[in-house]
Amino acid sequence: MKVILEVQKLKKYFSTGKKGVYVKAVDGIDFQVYEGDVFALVGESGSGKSTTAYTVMGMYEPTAGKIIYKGQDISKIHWKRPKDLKKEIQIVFQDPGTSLNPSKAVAQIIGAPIALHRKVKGEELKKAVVRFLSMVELPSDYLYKLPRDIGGGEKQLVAIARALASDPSFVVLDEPTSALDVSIQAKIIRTLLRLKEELGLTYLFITHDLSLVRNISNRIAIMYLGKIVEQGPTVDVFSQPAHPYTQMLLSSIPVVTKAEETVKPKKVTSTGEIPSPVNVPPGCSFHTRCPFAWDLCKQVEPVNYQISMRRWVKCHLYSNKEVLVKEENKNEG
Amino acid sequence: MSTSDIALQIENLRVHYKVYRGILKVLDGINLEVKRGEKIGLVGETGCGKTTTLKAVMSILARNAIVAAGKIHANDDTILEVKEGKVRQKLPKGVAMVFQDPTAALNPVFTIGEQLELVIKYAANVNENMREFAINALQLARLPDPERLLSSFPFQLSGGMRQRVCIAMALAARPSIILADEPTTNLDVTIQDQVLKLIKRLSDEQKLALVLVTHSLGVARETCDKIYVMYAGTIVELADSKEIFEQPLHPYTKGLLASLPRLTGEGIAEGIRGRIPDYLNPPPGCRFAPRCDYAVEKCFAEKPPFYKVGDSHLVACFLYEGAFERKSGEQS
Repeated sequence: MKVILEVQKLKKYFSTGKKGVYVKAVDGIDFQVYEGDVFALVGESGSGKSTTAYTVMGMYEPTAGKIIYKGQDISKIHWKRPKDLKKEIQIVFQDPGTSLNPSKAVAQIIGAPIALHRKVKGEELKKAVVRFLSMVELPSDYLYKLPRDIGGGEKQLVAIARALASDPSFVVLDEPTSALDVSIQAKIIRTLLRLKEELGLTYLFITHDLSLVRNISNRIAIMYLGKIVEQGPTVDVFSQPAHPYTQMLLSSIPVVTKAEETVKPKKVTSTGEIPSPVNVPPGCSFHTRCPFAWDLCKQVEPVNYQISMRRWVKCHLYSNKEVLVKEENKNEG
Repeated sequence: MSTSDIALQIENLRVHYKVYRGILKVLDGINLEVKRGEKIGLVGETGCGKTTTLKAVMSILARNAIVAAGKIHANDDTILEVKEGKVRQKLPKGVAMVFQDPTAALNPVFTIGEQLELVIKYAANVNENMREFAINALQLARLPDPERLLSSFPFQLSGGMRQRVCIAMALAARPSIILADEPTTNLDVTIQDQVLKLIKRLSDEQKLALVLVTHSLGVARETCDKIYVMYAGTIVELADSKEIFEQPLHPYTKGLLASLPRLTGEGIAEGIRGRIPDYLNPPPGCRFAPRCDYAVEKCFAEKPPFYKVGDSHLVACFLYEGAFERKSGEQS
């Protein structure tokens, strides 16, 4: 498997206006996205998941760290990036009501990236727009409709068609369905998965909806206060959540069947609230809410411990389990 | 207090909205009954009229709303009645509401204490020891450090804290009915869990009747005893919360449940085709018929009545015409 995007020790701080006081939105995260992945970045509001996405897109300049896309260092702001690169990485935003220009027709919205990146005009451009519309299963009579004339789900399909119009290979999906009803969400997600197969795309999927992620992603990273606390293959993380925060998240999800209830960890009940990213607690930032926290957690920040082949956990509970895995690996090798 | 068992009863409520394009016929005969101490979930997607129903009870409908028909009783008092084309409405007593967005529900320029005192003074009619009363109310909602909270402004609190303040405020008036309009939609999942548990515990302790409006079936299942499923201004199915998830009958309920992504990872379902009807010209028959895979001619022409399919399971769909009679006939 080829690594398509690699994020190394990425930090993004925002100044608060006061000297020396920063909002540490993203505070040193590492992850790798492989080609063909649906990589999910999950966290609550204020965990820094959207900031990570926007930094990858070049909408923010990273404070420190590196973003490497297909071997090329792209850790810079968008106007310093070459045009070829912008064509390669695209984004679909959360709320299609505000991410589409209300005074432009669908043909203009989808046509803009085609005209810019492929230099086509007139009849040829129109044909291309119709092709992208049909990709998301919208009829060609949508060409001259304005965003206000179409429903929320259809607007999001237009936004997806616009993202695909520049022929990207990496698409960032920033909560693409959280503003939509479940019956429409299902349709959008199916369209996204179909397009991924047809066009050979790789997705970075940002969301807070764990049940959704369970069904569509193959690898997952859980964020808390600007840090990744756990990452690994989705199936493993859900069947054996290692970090206490992951367990708390999973046990908080309201579910609809008994089978799902058995999947939920029972022992961790949700307490406390996510602290402000301006005053991150010392040591492990989760210790204020963690039922297993002891003195060490309040003083020393845990490092990433590898607990199996592709799983990392940032928690002191696993400080001695790491050794076991290394020995296992040696035995295998 | 009277001895009646039923806390809130809505009969055949029809609410229309007058807009530039014409009249939107939103609520199309809502019937709802909440017993004392019962927790009801009103579930449906965006724009199905859940909030309008609650607003009609609280008599805070928008100015362009027209109550075309219906009757609402709360705490043995008729609070809304349409007689000879005239609407008589009064403010309900002993009913409190928790709104969706606590940031918009709290006044940003007054402290929590000042806002809470207004509720205590006018809704609970307490004029002495208001501060103690307020602290008591905040403690009930499990808010830490209530003394300091009283002099805080809403912007100094987090979203979950604000919603808990709103719940404290709703409970300060000692209501017997609580209407909660998507109380956890703006909150994170771990905070949602805490707030739902709080609402559930408080309504159990104080034997409150609860109407929880939500779009999330999971939230309704974990909080409520009985669930009403709403679609486009009509109630399509109601049953005990256990039964509706194990045996959903209405095609809409089935479709909605199937669209939910599961934690067990069974993939993503098809969803429901089409979208909710335009309220300007709603379908004359069953409002779900244009999106329904099982629709027959009759569905497009006639409104389905409620068919009884279980002890407390009703479904408004022609598919179940005579289903219960046949079932009971087999048993005898």
